[in-house]
Amino acid sequence: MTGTAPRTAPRAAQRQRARAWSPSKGGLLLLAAPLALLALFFVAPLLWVLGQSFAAPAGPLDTYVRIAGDGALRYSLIYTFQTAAIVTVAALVLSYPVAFLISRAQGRWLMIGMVFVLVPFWTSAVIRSYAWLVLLQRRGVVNEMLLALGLIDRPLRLANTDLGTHVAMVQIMLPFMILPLLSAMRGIDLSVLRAAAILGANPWRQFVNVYLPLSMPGVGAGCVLVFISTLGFYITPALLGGSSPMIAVAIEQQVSRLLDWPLASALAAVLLVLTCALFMLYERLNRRLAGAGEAR
Amino acid sequence: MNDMTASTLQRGSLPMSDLPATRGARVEFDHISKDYGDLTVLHETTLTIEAGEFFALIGPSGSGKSTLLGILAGFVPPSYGAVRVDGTDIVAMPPYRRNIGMVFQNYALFPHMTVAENIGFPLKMRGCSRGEIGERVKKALAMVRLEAMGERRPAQLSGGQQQRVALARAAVYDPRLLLMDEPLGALDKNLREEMQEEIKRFQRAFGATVIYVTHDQQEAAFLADRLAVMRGGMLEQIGSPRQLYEMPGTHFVASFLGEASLLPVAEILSREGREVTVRTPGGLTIRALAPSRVSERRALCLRPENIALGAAAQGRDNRFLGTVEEAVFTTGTLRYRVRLPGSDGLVTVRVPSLPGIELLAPGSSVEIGWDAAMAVTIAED
Repeated sequence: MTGTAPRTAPRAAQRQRARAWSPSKGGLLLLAAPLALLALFFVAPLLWVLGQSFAAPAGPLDTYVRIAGDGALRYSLIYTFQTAAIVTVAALVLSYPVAFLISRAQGRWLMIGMVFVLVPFWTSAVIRSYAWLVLLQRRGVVNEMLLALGLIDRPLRLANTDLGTHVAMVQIMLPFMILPLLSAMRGIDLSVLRAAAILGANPWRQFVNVYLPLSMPGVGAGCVLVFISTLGFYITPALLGGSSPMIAVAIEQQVSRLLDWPLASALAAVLLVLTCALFMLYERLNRRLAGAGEAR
Repeated sequence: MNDMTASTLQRGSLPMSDLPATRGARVEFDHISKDYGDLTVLHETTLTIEAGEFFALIGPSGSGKSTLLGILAGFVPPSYGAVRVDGTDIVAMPPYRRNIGMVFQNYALFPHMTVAENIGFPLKMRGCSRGEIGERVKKALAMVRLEAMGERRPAQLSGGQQQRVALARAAVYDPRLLLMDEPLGALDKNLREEMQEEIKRFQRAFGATVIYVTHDQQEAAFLADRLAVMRGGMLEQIGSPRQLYEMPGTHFVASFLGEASLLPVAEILSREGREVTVRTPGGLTIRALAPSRVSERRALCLRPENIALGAAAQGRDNRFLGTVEEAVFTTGTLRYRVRLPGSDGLVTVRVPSLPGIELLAPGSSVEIGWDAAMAVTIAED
């Protein structure tokens, strides 16, 4: 073909608004079902709980005033956040090297590593909590073994202690830390470490200046996941901790023993609001850290 | 293709002693080899790269060129042998003590740092003061013409800009040896040619020894003072781009660098100095050049631009009446595939496409010719 293409035709076509197919029309329809499900079984009960927290006979804010004035409940909240922090840090410290090793593994070793992470992940927390009870109780596996080895004369008190509960919670939370770390670490281009090496960074500086910052998205995601999940821990502290002051245990007591639905709802609302606030703080921090680098 | 030939000729004529005064390092690979169990990826290799030289390693993937570079950088421990930089064996030294600059194929910029932080990284690792880092980074940014980009992240730059950042980062600490592993592989053609110019200029100004790995023979010929063609974990031939193009030793080198028509040799009829007369299996008698070891040389290498066509073939040492099988116009040249008389097959001929010159029609007869010095005997594989 020679000569110039006709110029008027495309202009005429531009003048009319294109009635093009767009993915958004079908997308909305696809979203309708999950949105309805969420509204019915998540948003509605949540609103009901919030409503309940203002439904105390003594006045709408009575429950919140009682929480503020009740030392035991206040302690319960503080203890819960403190426990979540301890569990998060412990899980991070334990998970980072594990995730690193798995992220570098190939073929069969990768599969073995993933099995060790995923099998506990797929096992119910109830079962794992009972397993920890079997291990940690007075005549449990750990105590029997220490006694047999002659390291101790009398069984140690492991169950019904903070230590035992924390150990079990950390173990249950490990996959929630390892998996986000793993996904971030597998995304790190290893040639970047080689570049750091040839540019003069020894292994420690390669880690601190390059690897660690690049794995930070995984660290952040894992910490948020573990921290928030730990805030709501119920079954493990209830089984292992005896009368653990974890807030979920306290809420359960309000409901099933004291039948104080409004107070239980208010405690749940306080937990929810604090959790949301923390999450927003994390998001803001995250965005600031990522900065303009997220343009990719 | 023509462009390459031109630049090859120009720079091939530059003798080694004319290289500018250098602060580059001298590199010796001394009986270096690498194997993974039974698999040998690099056979015993001895190679010296002179101070200030721009040396290219070329070859197809798996030829061992990246292994050789990896051994020099310290990423690949060699199985045997020594690598000396200015006389010091560096095999036992970790990469971060070698003080070598390197540009990677995918640039390997740190995505979480700004451009300025990327370039400043090697200085920070060397314990430079904040002020000094700032000053040298500024200078390096100016050198690669990215003054305004210091605060951007690598992801916000184009491929060519990222490449220049990688170059600045590798050079900012004045290493005496700079390695480049297919640094232009990810760029499109125009940008690649532009960057080639820039790298060449850069090396002249910078004075370091550069070892450059590529599978692009044109790029290697344009940039390098000398190049080594690698194949199957071995050095096939070393020389200036022009030497390798004009006097390829083997079939592989002849066809890897530029375009070549290869004619088999059945018999060597006579020899007179460097000139030989050979007979092809198809019955043609051809006068050609035999640089050395005549007995091993079982083929003739003909470069397409060295064959004259029609009237221009008059008076050449070798002349034949061929048949045009294929005639194509490409930008700047007319390219023909011409069948030789007898059964020796086709040769490729390329002539400049001057205005007014008609493209010969397929099927037409045409005289082709070349002088003895234009055909080189090579070793068959």
